[in-house]
Order: sequence, then structure tokens, then C-alpha cells
Amino acid sequence: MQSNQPNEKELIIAAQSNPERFAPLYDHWYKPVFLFIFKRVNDKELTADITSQVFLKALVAIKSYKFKGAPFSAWLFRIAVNEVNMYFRKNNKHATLPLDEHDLRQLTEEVGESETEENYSLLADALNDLPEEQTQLIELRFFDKNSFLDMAHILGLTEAGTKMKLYRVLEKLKNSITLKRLRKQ
Amino acid sequence: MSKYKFDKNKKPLPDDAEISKYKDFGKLVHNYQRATKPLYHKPLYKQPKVFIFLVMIVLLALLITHFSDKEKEQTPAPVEQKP
Repeated sequence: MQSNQPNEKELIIAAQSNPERFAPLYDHWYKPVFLFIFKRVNDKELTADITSQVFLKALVAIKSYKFKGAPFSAWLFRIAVNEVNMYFRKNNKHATLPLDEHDLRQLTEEVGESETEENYSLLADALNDLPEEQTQLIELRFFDKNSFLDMAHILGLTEAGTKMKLYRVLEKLKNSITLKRLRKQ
Repeated sequence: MSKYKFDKNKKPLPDDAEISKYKDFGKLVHNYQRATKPLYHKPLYKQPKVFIFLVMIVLLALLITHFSDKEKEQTPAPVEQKP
């Protein structure tokens, strides 16, 4: 998620003075933002609508963007997280998101479970019991493959705080899986 | 809030061509201009909704004046009583 563009700062400054010059930033970040949202809503048309809202909000707010050391992408993804959450709250809806082995492999390993289909299903069930804020940590770390620093920037937390919170969520998931397995037996 | 389910046959993510279909910088700039352009940049009477609203107000005012005048005409003038 770290920006590889050497002149991103200049691009932002240019866009701050003229919205038409937002184009290079839009071109560069459209696909990552689209996929970030698609993974959360699983619907192309809806993703396109939310993505356009994200870029509109970014363009409106770019004049007040301040360089605080966090990458521009973190600011953009934070807007995306808020827009997705707002959509679900406003419409009182939820999406059913499919997760495959590729999505769950690292997380399964992290909670100390073996990689079996049964464990993947248990893990997906356990994720559904988590509150929104905790699911967000799992999504950012294991499904979007962000570093702790990027996660911290997106969530507006410190890196240490993010690690601590994620560690607690993983512990909770471990316990939840054990309980679910016991109930099944 | 979303719900997860394990699905071995999960569909792949949209590819570049599909994503590009939705990309439209011109539309973004247009929406930006609409979102940031203050109302007063366009005279109020040139906006259809505002124009109709203003016409309605004028008509309503005319009707009220018309009927109140008629009412005044119909009401007999008070007769002065001699002491």
C-alpha cells in the first residue's frame, strides 16, 4: 500500500491548486481503491458507486490535506473505510463475502489452527461474531495484506496500538473457534 | 457490517478491463463542480425548481389579495347610528 510514486507530494500540491490536476492521483489509485471496496461489498456496480463517492470526497477535501508523514493512500483508504461503513449503516444492509483458502490460510495459521476446510468454515463463522471495529483489523491485515504501519495510518492509531488490538482480536478468535468446535461435538 | 462465509469456489476479483469501465475522471470533475459550486453562482430564477416555487408564491399572493378584496366588497359598510 506504500506509494511508489516519487512525486506524489507534487501531485497533491498541484491537485490542491487545480482539481483538474487530480487526474494522475485518480488514475494511480482508482484500481486499488476499487478492489479495496469490492472485497467489502462483493458487488461491482455498488463498488463503482462507492468508489466514485470516495474520490469525490477526496477531491473536495484535498485542499485541507496536510502532509503528516502518512502516505496519501492511507488517507484515501480511510475515506473508503468510512464510506463503506456509512453505506451499510445507512441502508441497514450487510453483504455476504466469500472467503477462500487463500484469504484464510495466514489467519488460520495465526490463530494456531491447521489448514482444513472445517477450520476455515469455523474461522469464517467466528469472524461473523466480531464487532465491526475488530473485523476491520482482520480485513486490513489478512485480506488486504497491509503492514502494521499502514493499518495504523488508515485507522488513525499508533503502530503499537494497532498490534495490541490485533493481538487481542486473534486471541478472541482462538477462543471463539474452540467454543464453536466444542458445541459441534 | 458484512458476513463472511467459506467458499472454495470464490469468484476471482474483477480484472483491469472491468475496473476501467467504471473509471471516469470527467464525471468526477463534473460532480466536484456541482458539489462545490455555490447556489448563488446561478441566478435563482434560472433554476427551474426555484422558478416554479417563486411563480407559485406570486400566484398565491395574488389570489389572497383578490379574495380579501372581494370579501371587503361583500361586507356591508357599518351603518352609523344616530344618538
